[in-house]
Amino acid sequence: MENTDNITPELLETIDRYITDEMNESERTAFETRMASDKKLAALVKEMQQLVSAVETVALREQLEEFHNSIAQPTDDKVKKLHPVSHYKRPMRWIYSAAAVLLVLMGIFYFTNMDSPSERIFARNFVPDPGLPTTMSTTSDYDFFDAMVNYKREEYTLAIDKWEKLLAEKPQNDSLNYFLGVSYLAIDDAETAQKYLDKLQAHSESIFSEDAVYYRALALIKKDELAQAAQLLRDNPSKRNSKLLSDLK
Amino acid sequence: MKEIKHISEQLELVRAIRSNNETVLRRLYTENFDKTKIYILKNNGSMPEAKDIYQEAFIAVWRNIKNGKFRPENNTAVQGYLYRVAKNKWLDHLRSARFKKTASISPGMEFNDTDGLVDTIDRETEKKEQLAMNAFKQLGQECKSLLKSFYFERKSMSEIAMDFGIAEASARNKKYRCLEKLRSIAKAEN
Repeated sequence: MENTDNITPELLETIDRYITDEMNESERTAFETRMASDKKLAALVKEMQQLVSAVETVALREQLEEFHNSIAQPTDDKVKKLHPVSHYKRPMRWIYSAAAVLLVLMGIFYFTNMDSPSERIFARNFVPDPGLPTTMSTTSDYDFFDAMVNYKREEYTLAIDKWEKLLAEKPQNDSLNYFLGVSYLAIDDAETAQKYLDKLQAHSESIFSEDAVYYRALALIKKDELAQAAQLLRDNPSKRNSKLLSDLK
Repeated sequence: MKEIKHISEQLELVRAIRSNNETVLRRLYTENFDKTKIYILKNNGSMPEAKDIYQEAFIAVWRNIKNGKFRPENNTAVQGYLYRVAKNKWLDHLRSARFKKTASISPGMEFNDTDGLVDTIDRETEKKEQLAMNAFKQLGQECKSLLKSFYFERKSMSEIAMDFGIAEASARNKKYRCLEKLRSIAKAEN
């Protein structure tokens, strides 16, 4: 709004990618550095942020109305209406508690049936990578992100299926190899997981290379190759790796 | 491990909120309304007031998550934060109403204002955003829905092109022109 300069379509696309979190870490840093030295650009980004925020707020407000209607309850009077609402909720709650109890029982069953100590170390330490908004080039963005949605829903086999198709085109892609590795680990296939994660060794510049080491160590632990796992962790010191290493002892 | 998992769930939630994931926003909204509603109804509020305050709080939380002013710390961080913001907004409302009308505030209600995050947006920005929102509302229907699809629903240009039944290049072009129009209306208003 302070800025009257024209914006080219190309610049707009770059700013869009910045505002909508589509940039990866290095791109973002580079762009922020550029903004720091280019006041015009910084002002333009600020203007765009305000406009986009306005568009989003208007859209969200409309959506909240719809959310609210989907709660479907009387909107007229106060406290006395609380009663029927809690009545209506009760059977649902019962189902939730039953499900929770079942989950806990399954958990206990699972843990008491695991006898190998390496399995236990693995289970204690394995948390799948939280996933990404998206970091690949625009052409395969959609498919990659589509699989990422499955991954985040813990539908690992579906995600693996989709990613493996993409990998055929880009066998060396670091994001694909990394997330395939973590997905296989999540479905307890340490052998295949290791195969993918090993490929990250050739990508020391990758933002995943450090995390890949950690998951490779976990794959080795899962396969009961504790000495190799320990060696790998010792060779790549980090807070998380040292913690895992101390758990091995 | 349990704690790590919960924090990563919260980070996941934050990520989804930042990208306006509809399913996640809907769940967050519908699952947490009851708590705020009960609080407001118990404290001299009505159902429409509960809805208004809750929606304002929801938008404030969403905003603070987007601009990084809020970061989750434990497993119910976002949900707890939403409730605290709503509660503080209601207390603010009561306080301002009390000066006007002396509405009674029950003694059990604590005034907790230590939660400095409630209204982090400054007046100047607020004014500009209000202008930008007015500008947006003045756009034609097509521009509005195109910009919403792109910036709010985060659809790709190819999806948008499909929705509008046009080629991707013309969708891109259209989006560019709609945005330029929005900029010029916002500037004229300012």
